[in-house]
Amino acid sequence: MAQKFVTIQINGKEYEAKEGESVLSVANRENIDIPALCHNEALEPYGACRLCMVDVVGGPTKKGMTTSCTLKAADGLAVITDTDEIKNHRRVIFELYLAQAPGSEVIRDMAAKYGVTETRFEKKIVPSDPLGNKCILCGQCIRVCNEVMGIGAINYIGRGSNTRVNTPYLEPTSTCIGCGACADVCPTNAIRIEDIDDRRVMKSWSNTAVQLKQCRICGKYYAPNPLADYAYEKMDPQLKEELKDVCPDCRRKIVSKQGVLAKKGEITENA
Amino acid sequence: MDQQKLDKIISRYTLPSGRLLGILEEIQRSERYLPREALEYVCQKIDVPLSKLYSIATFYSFFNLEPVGKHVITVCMGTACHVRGAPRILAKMEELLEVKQGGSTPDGKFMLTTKDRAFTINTARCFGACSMAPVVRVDGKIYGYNTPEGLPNILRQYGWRRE
Amino acid sequence: MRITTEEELNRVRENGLAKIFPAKPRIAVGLATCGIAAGGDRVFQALKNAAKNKELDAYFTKVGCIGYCKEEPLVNISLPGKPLVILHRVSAEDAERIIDDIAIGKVTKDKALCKIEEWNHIVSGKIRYGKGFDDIPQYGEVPYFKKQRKIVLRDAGLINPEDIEEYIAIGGYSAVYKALRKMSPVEIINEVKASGLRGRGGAGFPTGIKWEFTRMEKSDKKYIICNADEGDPGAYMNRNEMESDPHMVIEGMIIGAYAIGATEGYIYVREEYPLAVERLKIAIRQARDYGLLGEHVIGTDFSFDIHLTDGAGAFVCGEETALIASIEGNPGRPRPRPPFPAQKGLWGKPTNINNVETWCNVPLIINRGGAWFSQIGTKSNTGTKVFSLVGKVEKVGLVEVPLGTPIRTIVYDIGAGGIKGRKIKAVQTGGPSGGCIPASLFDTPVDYDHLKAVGSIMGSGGIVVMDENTCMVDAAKYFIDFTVDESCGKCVPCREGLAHMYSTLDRITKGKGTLDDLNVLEELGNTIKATSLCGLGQTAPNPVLSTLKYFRDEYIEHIKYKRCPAGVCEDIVYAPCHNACPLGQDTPSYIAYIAEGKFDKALEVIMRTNPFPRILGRVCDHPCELHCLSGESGEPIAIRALKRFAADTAEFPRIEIKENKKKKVAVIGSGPAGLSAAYFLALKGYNVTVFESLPFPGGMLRVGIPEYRLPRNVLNEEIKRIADLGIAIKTNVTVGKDITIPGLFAQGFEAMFIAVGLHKGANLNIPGENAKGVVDGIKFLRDIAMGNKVDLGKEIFVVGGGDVAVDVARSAYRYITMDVAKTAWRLGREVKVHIIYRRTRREMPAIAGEVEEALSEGIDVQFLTSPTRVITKNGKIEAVEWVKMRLGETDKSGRRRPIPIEGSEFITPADTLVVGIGQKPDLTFVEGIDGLEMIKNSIVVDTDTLSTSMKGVFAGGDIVTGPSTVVKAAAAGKTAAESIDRYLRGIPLQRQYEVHFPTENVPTLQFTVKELEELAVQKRVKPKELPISERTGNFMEVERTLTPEEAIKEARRCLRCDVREA
Repeated sequence: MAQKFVTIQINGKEYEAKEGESVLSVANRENIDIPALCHNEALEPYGACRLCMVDVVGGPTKKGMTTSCTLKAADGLAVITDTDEIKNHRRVIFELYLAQAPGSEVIRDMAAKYGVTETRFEKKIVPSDPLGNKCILCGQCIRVCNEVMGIGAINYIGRGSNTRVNTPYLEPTSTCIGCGACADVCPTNAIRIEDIDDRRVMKSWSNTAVQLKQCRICGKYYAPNPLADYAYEKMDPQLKEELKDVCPDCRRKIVSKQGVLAKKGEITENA
Repeated sequence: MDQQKLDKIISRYTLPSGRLLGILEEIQRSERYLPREALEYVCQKIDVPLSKLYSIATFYSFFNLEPVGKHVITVCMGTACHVRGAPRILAKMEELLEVKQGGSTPDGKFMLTTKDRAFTINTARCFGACSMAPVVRVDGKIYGYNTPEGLPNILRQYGWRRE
Repeated sequence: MRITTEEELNRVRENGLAKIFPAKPRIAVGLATCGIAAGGDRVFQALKNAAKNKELDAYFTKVGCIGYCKEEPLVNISLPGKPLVILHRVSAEDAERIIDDIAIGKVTKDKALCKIEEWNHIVSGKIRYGKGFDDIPQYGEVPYFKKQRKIVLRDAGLINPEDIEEYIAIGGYSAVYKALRKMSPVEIINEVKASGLRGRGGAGFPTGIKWEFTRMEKSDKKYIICNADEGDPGAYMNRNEMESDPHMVIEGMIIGAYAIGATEGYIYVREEYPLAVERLKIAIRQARDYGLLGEHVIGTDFSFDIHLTDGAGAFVCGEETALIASIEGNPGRPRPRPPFPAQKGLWGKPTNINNVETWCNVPLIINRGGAWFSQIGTKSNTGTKVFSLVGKVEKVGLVEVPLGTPIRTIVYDIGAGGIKGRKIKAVQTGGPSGGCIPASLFDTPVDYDHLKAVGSIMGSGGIVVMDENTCMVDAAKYFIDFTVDESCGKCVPCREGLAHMYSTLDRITKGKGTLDDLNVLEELGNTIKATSLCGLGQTAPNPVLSTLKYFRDEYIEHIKYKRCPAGVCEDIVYAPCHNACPLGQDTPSYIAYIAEGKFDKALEVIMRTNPFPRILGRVCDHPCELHCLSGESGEPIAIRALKRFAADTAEFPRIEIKENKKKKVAVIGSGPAGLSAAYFLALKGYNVTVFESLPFPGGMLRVGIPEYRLPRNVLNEEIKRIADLGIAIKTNVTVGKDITIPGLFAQGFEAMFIAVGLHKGANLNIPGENAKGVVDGIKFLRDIAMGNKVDLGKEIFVVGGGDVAVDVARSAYRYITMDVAKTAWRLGREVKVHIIYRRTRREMPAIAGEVEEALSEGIDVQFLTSPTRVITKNGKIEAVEWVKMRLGETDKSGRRRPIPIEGSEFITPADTLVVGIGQKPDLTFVEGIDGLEMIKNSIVVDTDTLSTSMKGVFAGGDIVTGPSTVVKAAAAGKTAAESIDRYLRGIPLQRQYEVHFPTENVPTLQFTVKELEELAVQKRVKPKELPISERTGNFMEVERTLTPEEAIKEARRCLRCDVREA
């Protein structure tokens, strides 16, 4: 089916968008400033951070404030991103963020950008927080681990203001494959992972340690075992046996050597 | 908890809707808490990550991850009971059973168990018996129109003795 | 047997009717959750045993709950051909005589609540039980039921919820037959749309339109869900609907599924409702057996089945997307909408979710039609709603009324008002998502739109009644505590914002709040409302915002004065009695001393803040007793009587005045305010002179309160004790006439306290009020006190409802009978004293105890009547014309305005009309001064310091507040003394308020277990009184002082709320 395009209005100007695309996506593309923390193009809209609010002033949907990550583009839709009401609410929400994650420079910088440098609310400081008092419970790490990677090593624990993210029973888990996707998506860089000797230690996840594969050629520890197995399984076409258990550097050398040799006609590529 | 029993519980839930919560609730009702081994077995059997079961167990108030005492006393803290003096009932209950306030388990649930594990006190938000406020439930039996003075009588039926 | 045709349905119907009319006695016991908890199952067993012993052949069954929870256990007795009789408060011990009566064709009258001759089950015609039992009231005459209209609860309490045949007997499943066989899905949806039915879960979205959305979606599979998560604490309507009549839920769902195109339905029941789950399971099984669920419903091509899924203790799962997530096996975290469940719901398929009660209304709408339904209620809020009326109300229970019924009707007419006749302060509707509505707005109709307009919501139907012992700040904190706990935690405003709101409210209840906190609460509340992901967050701030709107002064009291007026917030309340006392008496301590027999120590504690305990121990209106925690479940401690006992019995401690400050202070008026001020000023060492315009000191204590309440000798002794501190009391001196205030300053007085009171009566302002025989009540009391002759006839009417009117009536009764002995044989007519009040007993401001005494003395009290004119002859009263009143709208004070009923005037002959409707000041004292600010008849003061607009001049008591009580006047005197002291010492008048708890720390008594049990049921002491027969013809004191034995026994009942754990 052909992709339908629609015209929407943001802050009085018209923009083209794919029908059904989120207004937040359009704004990001057109460099219109709408703050967001829990949004990830690879995942369904989550609606947790409440920063991306816009005011719907025209179009087929209900008028009033709503999140732009869930607002779908349709013909005639008109929104305003920075009404006084939105600005006021946003300021209060940033104060709440500053209180919740006092360890996060990302939050501090973002809040400052919107004029909030102090908070009236009591800061939550947990002395040995494995997430460095930076976690905002946006859920991206959990969603990536569960829905994208299909692993499920971590999840929310508890409810309400007692919620935190960690492994079951707060113990190291053998489910984790050490892929580090959680750390990649974390908007506040709260997740700490450290490769120590032959293990990758997920410091934020109860110090779960994942065994690293050792390159049979150079001896370097280069990738978590379970991640490598996971990746090998998913590859199509499958990786050649001689390239498994070999670190990326060595693999590069092998492949390029094969390529050179192929050019020279001494071996056929992809033999 | 034995595997046969667990298998039987799991087999009762064939539809996906309500399956996970249904299984966990049956285990909770049978053992009065969710033993770790049971969760580990279930997650293997139905192919759900342990982290998800743990997440569910810590989210819903009904589940306990710690064993409870022989008798579970639940003080209703619903609105109707609150305006009819529930906080005083809870305080008196804690005093009579000599358990300290502010006791919550690592997963953030309010549960106080006596040293001899005879009683556990917890709270609930409403049994729907508001006409008899303030309400206390002991092991499933509901007592209404409670007063702090009347609590020793109830406790005595469950083997409690005043020092 | 599977039902596939109408004939088969009718056959089952006949089976069912044979159970409802079994040609022998049918005994049905109410066995829903409350019925069982109240002992219903024991009653059931006892009745069965008694019947067996008596060899009575009866049909026994269980039924659900008719909603009159206060009267459980309930038993229905249905004798063939006779009305069904509902017995109430049945205990196992009653079983034998109930059975005995049935055996001879009678019903136990003293247990009968009401009878039902015929009953309309709405979906079908009427069920006729029979006529008879003329001496048992009809169901519709019972005040609790009179204004209800049972449509959803049409079967509850009458049929066996565990028998599908009884449900079919009263017309059940005929709507399914009609819908599936005679209507198309579109027709069904149109009917639901025409009915105007709105979602009963709280949001109030039009049900027909919601069904249509789901119907329009194209999908291979659709679901419907019944939301039975009913998480609002205090709301249990759905529980009763499921326990008492589960089939109506199922029937509604079958029809809905057919209309929408769903083949699978789920009922999500909260796990706290095990009996509801049980009854639904049985009902579903039976429905399947009878071919109403499963393949080929009622013989059609439509297949549909229902499954139960349990909740697990999370309030947020009442939200649609969270509920769906829960069924899918996830924690209940809501999902953003759009997409709506109608498009992408359970497992991503179109899903329609409705509340239990919404489904229950569907069979009615199908059978009787949408147009019929839309006639009930109001135009945009059609139908009825079941409410759970709980909290501080007399008749707690389930109530079903048409939407649009005013709050007032539900709370007062059906609920019978506050417990123990107390004033109701507010109701909270809509659970934690709703708001508090003050008594002054009780005219508000209960429906979605009106409640939203006043800052609350209707929600699922919980109505919690709150009285003066409920602290609104604590209530707001309670609700936020709830929502903080139940928040799923996904979005920041709700998760973080509510937690901060809680800690702010907590600080305020601990006396550590600031006024800026109120601004933060409002700002934060508004942001949480506007930006939260789901309905929980969007409505959670409502209790706070509504209490800030309507009860802001309570917040300010906690913040500025560090005081909790209701006596609830433990950190700033030493004990509720102490907290309520305007003089701050350390009541727990003196009661504890009395209990130990240490009467002298008790009096010493009393004297610290009470200038005249022998007086207050007799006449105080005891706000302490109103807040006494013992009174919540039983009777309050007789605090006033105990105080009187200590003051009458023990020795007054010697008072040493430490320093003589030599400065002169003038007190104008020797009533309670003036005497109190003089007392406390003298204690501080000031040189006090009291000026009194009457020949005797005492003010209203002498000329307002009759001697049978406050004997002359006691008053004189108390005044002497105060004067002995070195206070000069100058009588027969009227300030403003004999000397002016500037004159007093000129004489060297450096500060003065105006406490002249209100010694004139307010006028009725009706024609003929100046005739002879129309008497000012205040003047009447003064004349009696001063020994002046008063002319009273034989038909004496006293107009008013306050303490003045009652004092006048009781005094008149005595005064007249002093003469009657001499003149009765001559005139041969009996004396009659009437009190006429324009509102009802509930609104009467007089002390309840006084009114009861008046009634027992034979004084007649008439309500809802008011005088319109005095009929005179030769300038003297001959008769009075009255008009009957009815109560109209509620005014700001929360009382209903009396409105004359046109054409109801009537005339009675009268000898005397005494007016006791209000008080005015004698303004002579104002002469000669300039610049004393007054508003109407009151002096304007700074409420904290009692300073007036004139430097060095302070004022307090009735002249400032309007007619009030003795203890409040005494408290004003005490405050004035403190202010004058600060003034004369040159320090700022405004105090900083701190939390000060008394530190007497009297240890508690140790009781044995047996003693505790006895104390738990010990009745409140009633002081001995002069027998009624001895009260005529004299003004002897009616109430006696307690004996030491009585006092100690009563004092031991005290719960010692002042004692906290270490």
